[in-house]
This record gives sequence, C-alpha cells and structure tokens, in this order.
Amino acid sequence: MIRRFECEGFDSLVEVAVESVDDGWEVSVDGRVYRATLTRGPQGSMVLQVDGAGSHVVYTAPSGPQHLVVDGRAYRIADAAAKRTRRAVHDSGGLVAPMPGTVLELRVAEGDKVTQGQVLLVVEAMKMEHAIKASRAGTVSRLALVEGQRVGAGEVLVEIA
Amino acid sequence: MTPTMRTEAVTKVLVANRGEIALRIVRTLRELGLESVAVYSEADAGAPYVALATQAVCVGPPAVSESYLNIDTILAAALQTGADAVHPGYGLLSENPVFAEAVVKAGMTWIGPPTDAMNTMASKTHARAAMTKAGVPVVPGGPVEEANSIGFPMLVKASAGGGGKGMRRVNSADELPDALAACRREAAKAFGDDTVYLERFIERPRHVEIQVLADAHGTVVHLFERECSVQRRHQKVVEESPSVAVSDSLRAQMGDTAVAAAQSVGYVGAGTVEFLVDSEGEFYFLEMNTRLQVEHPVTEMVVGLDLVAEQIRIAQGEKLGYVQGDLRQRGHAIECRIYAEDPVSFLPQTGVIQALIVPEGPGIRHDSGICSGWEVGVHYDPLLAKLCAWGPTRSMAIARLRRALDDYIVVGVQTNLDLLRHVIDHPEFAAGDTTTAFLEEYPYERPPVPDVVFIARALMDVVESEPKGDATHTDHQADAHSPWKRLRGWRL
Repeated sequence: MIRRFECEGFDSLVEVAVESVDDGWEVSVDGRVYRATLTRGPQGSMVLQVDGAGSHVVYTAPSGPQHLVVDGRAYRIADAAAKRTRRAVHDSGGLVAPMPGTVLELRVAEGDKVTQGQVLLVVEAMKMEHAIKASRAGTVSRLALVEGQRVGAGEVLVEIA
Repeated sequence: MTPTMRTEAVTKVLVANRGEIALRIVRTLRELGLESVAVYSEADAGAPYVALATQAVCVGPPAVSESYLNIDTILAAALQTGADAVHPGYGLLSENPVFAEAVVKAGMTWIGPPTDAMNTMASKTHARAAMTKAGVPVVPGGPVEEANSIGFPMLVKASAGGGGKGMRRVNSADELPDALAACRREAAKAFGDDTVYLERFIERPRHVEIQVLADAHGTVVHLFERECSVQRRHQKVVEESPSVAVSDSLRAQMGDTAVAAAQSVGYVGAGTVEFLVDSEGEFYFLEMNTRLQVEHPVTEMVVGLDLVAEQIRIAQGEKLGYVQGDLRQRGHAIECRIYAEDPVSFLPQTGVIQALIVPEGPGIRHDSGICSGWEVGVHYDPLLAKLCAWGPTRSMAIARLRRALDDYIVVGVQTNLDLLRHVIDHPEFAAGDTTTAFLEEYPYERPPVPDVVFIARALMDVVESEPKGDATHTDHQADAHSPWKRLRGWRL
C-alpha cells in the first residue's frame, strides 16, 4: 500500500509504502527500506522500533494521525491528496488567512497592481496584527472582503493574477 | 484621589482573570484557606481554574471586551458572591486604575497597588517624567514631535502599553508614518488609548527587571533580578534568576534604584521595575509593572516566597516582617513560556489539545491553564503554560529544564516547544550571552523530518484503518494476519 504524505512547513512529498511481514512491517520511505515493529507504550503512546535499533515514542491525536508527536517533537503530516486543493490556490497567487481573525485594514482593491512583498491587508488575530503581503508581483484579481469581516484559517483572502 | 484602603482580613477573593494565572492564584487561595471566586467567559466554561475555584460566575461572551474587561459585570459578580477582595492577575484589568478604584469604592480590598501609583506608571510618559525626577536613569526618548532629536533606529511605543503590544521598531524616517498608524491602532484596541511615544533603540540590550515588594508601613524590599532577554516580537520567551550579567555590585545598584522608584510613587504591593542593560552595564528604566508578572515563579523559586500570598498579606495591611538583609538568592531558576504558536513564524495556532503529558521530577514547576480536550481559540493570548526548572546551579537548572522540555507532549496544537529546546540547547544560552536580539541572531530553523516520523505516520494509518473489533481480541484470538497482532504488549 503506497501513501503520499506532506509535512507542514516542508514542500516536498514523501512516498511511503507499507508491507506486512512476519514480525512487523517493512516500510519504505522514498525508497529507503526499514523493518518496523509497534508496541503499546504508557499513557496512550506507541513504541516504534526501527531496524531493531532504538525505540521511538509516538503519540497521535484521537481524531486521527495527522497530528503526531515523535520523540517529543510535534508534526502535522497530511495525506497529500487532501492538501492538493490548498496548494493549487497558493500556486495561482492566492493568499490564505494564516489563522482565524478579523480583517482590520484593506490596503489594495481589485485591479490594483502590486509588487512582491507589498502589504495587501492587515488581519488581527489573537490580539496581534499580521500583515498579509503579496507573494509575487501582479494584479489583484479577486478581493472579496470588507474591513471588520471575520475570516477563517485557510480562507482565500486575495488572489493575484 | 485614592480612597482609603480597607485593611481588614481577606476571606473570599474574586480572581479577575483567566488561564494559567487564574489557576495559580486559586491555588494559593486554597493553601491559605481562603475562598475563591472565578469569573469566566462562555469560551472558558470548561477551564481548569473554573473547576478548582470555590465558586464561578460567567461574565459574558468570549470577546474580552465583553467579559474579562467588563468592569460592571465583574464587580456585580464580586458583590453577588460576597467576595471581599479582588485579585486582578496580570494583563486584562490588572493595571486599570478605574477598575481598582471601583473595587475599593464597592467596599472590597484591591490586591494591588494604590491607584495613584498605578496612574503614574500606567502612562509610560508620566512614568518617565516621575522617574527622571526621582533620579532613576531612563532611555532617551520623548513625544512624536521630537522624532528628529531622538534619532534612528527608534521604537514607537504605546503610552498605555505593555507586553510588547503596539511596539514597532523604526529604522528610518520614511518608516515612521506606517509604524505610528499601526501602533496607534493596536494601542487603541488593546488599551483604549492611542497615545504613543518614541524611544531610542538600544542595540543588543539585556532586559533585566527587579521585583519589589512594599508594605503599607513604609518597608520596601527588592527580590533581586530576573533576566528576560530572550524574546520574540518583543515578548518574553525564557526568563531566569539570577542573571549571569548582573554582578553583586550591579545587583545592589539596580535593586536600590528599583526600591527608590517604588518609594517615589508611594508604591504598596508587588511590582516590577524593568530596565534595559546595555553592553557597558549601564541600565535604563523601561517601565514599572504595577502587578504580578507572568515570570514571577522564577523569583519565587529562588527567593522562597509565594508572591501571591505576600500580595494578600500586604493588601490586608500586614507588615512584611523582613528586611532586605533577610533575603537571599538560592540556586538558579529558569522559566519557559509555552505558547500555541508556530516556532518559526510565531503565528498563533488554534485547535484542540488532544493529548497533554506534563513533565515531572525534581526542581520542576508547571503552571498551566490547559488540559487534554482544551480548545485553544482565537480570543485570548496564546500562552498555554509556563515550565520552570530550579537547580542549585545554573547548569543544573538548564539540564533539568532541557530534560523536562523533552518530556513535554502536546498533541493537536502546534506549540513553540521546539523553539524553547533550541534556545536552551544553544551554546550562547549556556554561556549566558543572551540579549533581546538572541532569536534574531540565532533563529530557530525547522530541522528536516526524520524518516521515522513518516514510518510512524504510515503505520498509524494502517493500524487505524483496521476494523475496531480486532482491538478487543487478545493475541491468540486475533487473526494471524491482523497488524494488531504485531502490537506486542497491547494491554486493554
């Protein structure tokens, strides 16, 4: 079974294949092959042994394994298929809200020419102001917002053509 | 004019705050055998501090302006529950003289300083004038009109500000208009006052503050320093006491200056005098926080006092009962602030904490307002918890803290734990070479993801996609081909 994953904060896709073998699993990560076993650890954890060398403590969220903590470090690893839509939006010059918040100030309007790095709008979230800047130069092709409007995380704020 | 302060014994305290600090105050109230009243917004109904207080009153919807900042509602809650004192914590209404005065007028004890001292220190511009008069050195600066004489780089600051909110660095004259507008807007929103002022930007300073305690009988002592140089977005991330950079003579000098600053405004209660210390060891008054500070635990661990208990004793009119010579710094304490935020971009994160495992062990203190199942929302500051370590030496405190950070597990919400590990691991931190530019000079970079993480992720998928019934089978009952069989040691 082959799965493609994407770790938040990183661009590349990682291909993982899992095969059940006698004493555990054979797992290949971008072609690198490992033998792995999984046992139950304390406090809801799993203990992962890779190639018999050292163990790694793994915690996952009850809601699903997208959120996981391995050796104390937290990762968000999405199924690549589920993330494709959001990436497409970003590639087309769209800018998404980094978190839920309120639109404080609009600095541009549809049809405006913008330069890379120019502040397009200011969003307030968690009592701080965050400037949303143009990821590249172009023309604002869509801006369907008004000042004071609440926006959700991942919502497309501006599109630049 | 300050109304006469009540000096009767406190029996029931309304805690006008939320999160970790509300819980921390409730804990001391319980230890002192006093009753507590929690106030909470609709978003905080399930918070640990609400459950642990003697009584709790809902004061409105999630937005702070409609709940925790609503003076009338909070006063009504105090009167309705028969509270005879109010502890404001930090942030929110803690430095609001109007609230303090209303509490006193309603016949309750304000666990905080007199409103005159609050008024002076609440305005950074008034505070600077008062300190200059008292002979306390201040950072060169002044009103916006004096921009040219102050020189660049400079900081635009909110006069009513604190916690880095509204603060902007300005490198040249053409950046000034934007910074002024943004600072005024943020200040108006956060503090209801859009007055701003300018200050010379001191390159690579250390942030060192002195904790003071003053009783109503004229005794003022300091509880030594806290070094809070490691900051991001002008907000503290790691704090410690003592400071590596403070010699015995500098400590005595800064301590005396802080005591003089407190005395000059007739201060009573617990307060903090913040200083910038430049590379030459010169120090400048920044501001005085007329409240309990977020990072007060490091002082408690080193000095051996409970600052909330001291605040209550002082508010009841008791004498401190000790003098400067009775106080000692014992060992070393370091605090890490655990925020729900991306460790690289510092953007606040939201979500549900699906699993939470908190470190234990010798010298470890954990102050938090969260629990497993807690939803981190958009309405409040992203501070989740404070993790402190004490050790007989700085290197032992670092070792304990580092170990505890590794044991700290938060699943479901991105935190800055990796950034904290990066700071504590850094050789410059170990050397004590910390300035407010630390994270700009030594930024955290996301390390590559080891293959084991993808192995774990993929295996969890495989395990989760198994029919549920299999999980209840014991090994010999299970289908020989089920991956569950390979979960050796599975206990149910």
